[in-house]
Amino acid sequence: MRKSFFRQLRFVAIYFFALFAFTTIAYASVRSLNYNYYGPYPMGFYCYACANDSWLVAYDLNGYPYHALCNICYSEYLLDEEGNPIQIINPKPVN
Amino acid sequence: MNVILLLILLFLSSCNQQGDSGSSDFGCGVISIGKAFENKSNVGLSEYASAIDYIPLETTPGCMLEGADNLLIRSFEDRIYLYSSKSALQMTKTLPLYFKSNGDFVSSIGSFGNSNNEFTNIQTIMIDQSVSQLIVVDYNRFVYYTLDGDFIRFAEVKSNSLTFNGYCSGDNNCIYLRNPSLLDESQGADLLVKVDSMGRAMVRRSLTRILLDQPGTPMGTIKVTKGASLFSSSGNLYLYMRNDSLYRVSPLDLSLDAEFFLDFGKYATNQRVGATLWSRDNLLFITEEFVALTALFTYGSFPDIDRRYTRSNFIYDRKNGTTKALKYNDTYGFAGFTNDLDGGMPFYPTYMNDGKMYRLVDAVDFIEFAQMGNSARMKEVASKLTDDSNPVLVVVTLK
Repeated sequence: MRKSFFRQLRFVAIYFFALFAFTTIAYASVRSLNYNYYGPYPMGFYCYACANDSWLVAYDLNGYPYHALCNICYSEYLLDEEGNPIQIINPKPVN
Repeated sequence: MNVILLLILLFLSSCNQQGDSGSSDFGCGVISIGKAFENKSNVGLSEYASAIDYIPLETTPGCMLEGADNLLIRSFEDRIYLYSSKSALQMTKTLPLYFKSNGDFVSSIGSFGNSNNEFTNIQTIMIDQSVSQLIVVDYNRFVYYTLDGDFIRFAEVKSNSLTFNGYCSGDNNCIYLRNPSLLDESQGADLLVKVDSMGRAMVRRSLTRILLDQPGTPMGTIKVTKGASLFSSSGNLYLYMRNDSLYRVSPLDLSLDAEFFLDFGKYATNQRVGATLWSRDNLLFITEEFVALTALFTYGSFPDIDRRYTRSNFIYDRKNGTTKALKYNDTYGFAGFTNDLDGGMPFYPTYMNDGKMYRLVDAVDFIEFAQMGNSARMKEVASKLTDDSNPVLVVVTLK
């Protein structure tokens, strides 16, 4: 009984470990693919640094925008699925 | 508190501002950006230049160039090299192209790939004039070519950065600056590194970053760190630091000598990010006669400034110590020197080397500008262009 319990526990542990590893590797692989950028075109918001609305935009595999690069100064923003900026991740050209 | 901080920054910059005189007891030029910005004016090209020419670049299927705004220029002797500034982002990557100074196309440089003699991206191109070599900077690699584009060798240079901000120092070595460029407050310092031609780091210099508030972002006020920027002009290297000082970098030991103090006046950085020197694409041109620079009045900090002037060009006359902000030309759609040499389009350089300043203009714009101005040479060149022609290279010879 006890032996069976530990076997099941080991199975569950391996299962979760494999699930975690697979998810992590899959996510990292997808994010590290060499995405192409589209644009430049306006996204409806101005770059906080250079005041331009001209963006190079990368889309994920589901077709949602996730990354915008200012075409003028290279400031980088993470985008939500609607294309709104949610985080500045590289505040160029203010080094 | 702000006053104390400003005094400390002034003391550290080791430059002593002397009112409007434009110079100081230490021989450090004061570029009065804040004051000049309040009173923008026109500056004639003839004050500093003796000639202007317009070179139509050959247009054939083997040398089609993209828009002028995306192209960077390198020149050496009678050679012009053009490459895309956004190579890493493009689906269709284009090789650097080599033209003669009369606009004739010669060849492309290198090839894309993973072999030792190839590159996957182009972060920048450097010309080592001391040994007449062309260096294509790939991610963590330098690929060396002859000036005609023949592969020589490669060297691994661990900059670990997606953008490369560096220049040849004229002694067969290169100096680059590595910015962490992340919002992480725990990020350390910028690193100024000198590497030899084999990619070995010879000298390193750590530069402290400071933490500032950046208002006006889509996420409200956020914390950013601000560090240094590296420039190259007239064979010298310059480091912009502490939001107000330009230092000349010694290529020997990376020691710094203060050369210019940038007085941003009421636009200066205090606890929040203020105006700063535009650090992309090396838009700093220093000659014995003048300093031409581009300043960024960060939109988030100064949202009320006319957006045409968020990025402004300034001319500092080294002889009389005056600074002028160039007026935006509504007709042509940018701010530059007034062209009083031949009555053509205004001019502002994007590259300078060996006593000449350069700028690329798209053919479609050039045709339009030729009709607006009085330059006979522009009209002559424009008459042979179509909308699909390669850009025109505008070359200004300095006095």
